[in-house]
Amino acid sequence: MHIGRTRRHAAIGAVLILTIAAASCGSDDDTKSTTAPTSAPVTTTAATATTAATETSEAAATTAGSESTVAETETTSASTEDSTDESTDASTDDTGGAAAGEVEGCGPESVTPIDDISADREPARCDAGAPAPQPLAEKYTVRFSTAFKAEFVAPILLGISEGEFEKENIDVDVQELGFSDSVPLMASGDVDIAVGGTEAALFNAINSGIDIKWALANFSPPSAGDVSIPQTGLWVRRDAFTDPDKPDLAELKGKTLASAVGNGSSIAYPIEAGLEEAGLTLNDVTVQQIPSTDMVQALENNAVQAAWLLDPYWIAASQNPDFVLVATQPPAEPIGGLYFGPEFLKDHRDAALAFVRAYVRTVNTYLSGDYQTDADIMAALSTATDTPVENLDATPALTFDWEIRGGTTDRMQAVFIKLGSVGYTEPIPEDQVVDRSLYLEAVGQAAG
Amino acid sequence: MSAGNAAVLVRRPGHPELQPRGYAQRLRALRIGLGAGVPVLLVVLWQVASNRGWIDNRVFPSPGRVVTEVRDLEELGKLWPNLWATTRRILVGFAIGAFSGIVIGILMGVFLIGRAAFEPLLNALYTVPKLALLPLYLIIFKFGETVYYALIVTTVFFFVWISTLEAIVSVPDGYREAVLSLRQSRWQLFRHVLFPASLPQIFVGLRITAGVSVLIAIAVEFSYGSTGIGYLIIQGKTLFIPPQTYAGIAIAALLGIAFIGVVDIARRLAVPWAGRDRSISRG
Repeated sequence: MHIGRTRRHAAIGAVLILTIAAASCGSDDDTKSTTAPTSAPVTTTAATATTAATETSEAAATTAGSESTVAETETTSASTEDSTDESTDASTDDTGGAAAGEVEGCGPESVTPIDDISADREPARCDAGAPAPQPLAEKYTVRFSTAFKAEFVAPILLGISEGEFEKENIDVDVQELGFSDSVPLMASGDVDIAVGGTEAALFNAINSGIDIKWALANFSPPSAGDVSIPQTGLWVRRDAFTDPDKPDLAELKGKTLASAVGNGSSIAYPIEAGLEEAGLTLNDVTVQQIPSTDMVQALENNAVQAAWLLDPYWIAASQNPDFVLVATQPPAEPIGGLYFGPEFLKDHRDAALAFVRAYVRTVNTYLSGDYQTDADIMAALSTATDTPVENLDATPALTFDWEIRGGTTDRMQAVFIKLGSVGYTEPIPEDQVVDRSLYLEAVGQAAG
Repeated sequence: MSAGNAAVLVRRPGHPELQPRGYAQRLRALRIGLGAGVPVLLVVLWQVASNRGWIDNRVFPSPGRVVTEVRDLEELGKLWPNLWATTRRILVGFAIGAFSGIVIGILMGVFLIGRAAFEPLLNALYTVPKLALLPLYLIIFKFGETVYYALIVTTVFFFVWISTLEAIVSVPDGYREAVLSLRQSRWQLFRHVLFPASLPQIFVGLRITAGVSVLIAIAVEFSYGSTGIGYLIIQGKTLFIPPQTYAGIAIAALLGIAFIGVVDIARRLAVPWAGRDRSISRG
């Protein structure tokens, strides 16, 4: 009996130890699995597989709200990027710090009138290699979060792989985390910069006292505004219209629209603009939350009549004659970008400026014009995004555009207020949302 | 215990024996007191932490704020429709999943051939994360409400099936032999011995599954659809409205407690001989 009980206890102890060991060696912060705490003997883990290689900054990942604490390092730390950081590009100007705010290589084209949202506006640009690096005295690790490592964050990914950040004495620690999940971390100072769309979460966060600032815009799709060119946008079933060749958006009243994120997303802005022309608003349609990966199916099944399809899902829709594109992202007006945390801007403005300088230089050097024709750049992008080059080529090159248009945040807030996605009725003034001073200083222009 | 060299153990009657009613009442009061008191204490601690700024109110609302948010949701007409949507899904999914789990579990428990044929397969399917089936179900059930029911039924079925099978199989042989020695039929064996003897353990499985069904319903609502408590929670996160998220979480917890309570009441009605849940052991 005595021996039997000891063996029993030993067995129980071994099982307990194995269970604890398995649990502690288990998934780390970056997995997208929903682990549900339960008193049941078996935990139901679910992998929510809504990953998408998106172009727009719409955070479509539906991770459960578990906080992932990013390692907080102020000084040297290993970058999580696996690419070697040797800068192979020798085209940097080392003259540095020209007189009185002027930056070599950045002329009048480095800034454009902020109220210009005409479709044919050229984005701001400097020469390749400009603005020149000005390394920080002390190395700083920027903690950066993005929902996906996709083409729309190419300036960061290429900046890391080509060593542009290293030239500024900056390490970039990339975490895959959606914007709304990053907000609490920015509030606590654990994330410095988050990528996202200019979404309701941003405005609600600022309204609740978290002083996040939109400091860099991301891109515009090259053919935005032209619905005859298949691209990211609002795709609708032809049979939802009485005359499919001349779709009348007023007929969408009462129909169902699929969105991965819903009325708080930055794409509510272009959709609302399209509907307003037909005398409707988003409140006149039923918005249904459907994972991005399943939207085309939902359209085919007529479960929804319209869907905002991101890259690359619109490709499948464009090959189906039953669907038609009726609205796109706004041309030449980015609706997403990089948002800087309050602690980062307040306590480490020099590092923030260095980051912006490297970002702008990466766009000027590698991502200007049709970068898809450059095999080296596409190879680097393919490695960084873990996407085959053919898939990247299937969607057109983005027009990277770091400037923030005037009035964008007012227009977007008007939509969110109408839809009830934000908890206030008076728009937050632009100067409390946007901070253009970093990119202006980087290119040697005075802040407006 | 006696002093000196005597090897006699003396056990005198104590409170449980001398004042059984008073003792039972005190024990009951202790159970209720602690059961309610510990959560209340934690909520008070949470409120204090919020008032003192130990936690960031912008990101973690206080309990008071959560309560006002629930009231706001009700005023906006968002509370009851969403709560009903989730409850309906859980009830339907649980009913169908539990019924089929019990039936299959019994069949496999009683008939060795069924067990041999299907147990390995079902064991393998049991470990598949059910939420990974969401895209498949969206296609099969054409994006309707049925998707929710199907996922909950699938999850509930496996939990209930396993506990039912185990319950039937672990009825002691002595019981079976007693029936067989009375020359009763297999049906009599099942109806009078196997089924009643396994009911307590079946209900243990149902109680666990009740909690899991709330969980899975809310998890599906995170990814798909625009109704339900899960949708409120995820929308609160996506739009950065922390009070809405935590209000949703609180409501989900209460829903779970209520549903488990309902299953427990059903257990007491169906299995009165098994007695009260003895989770607090007597000294």
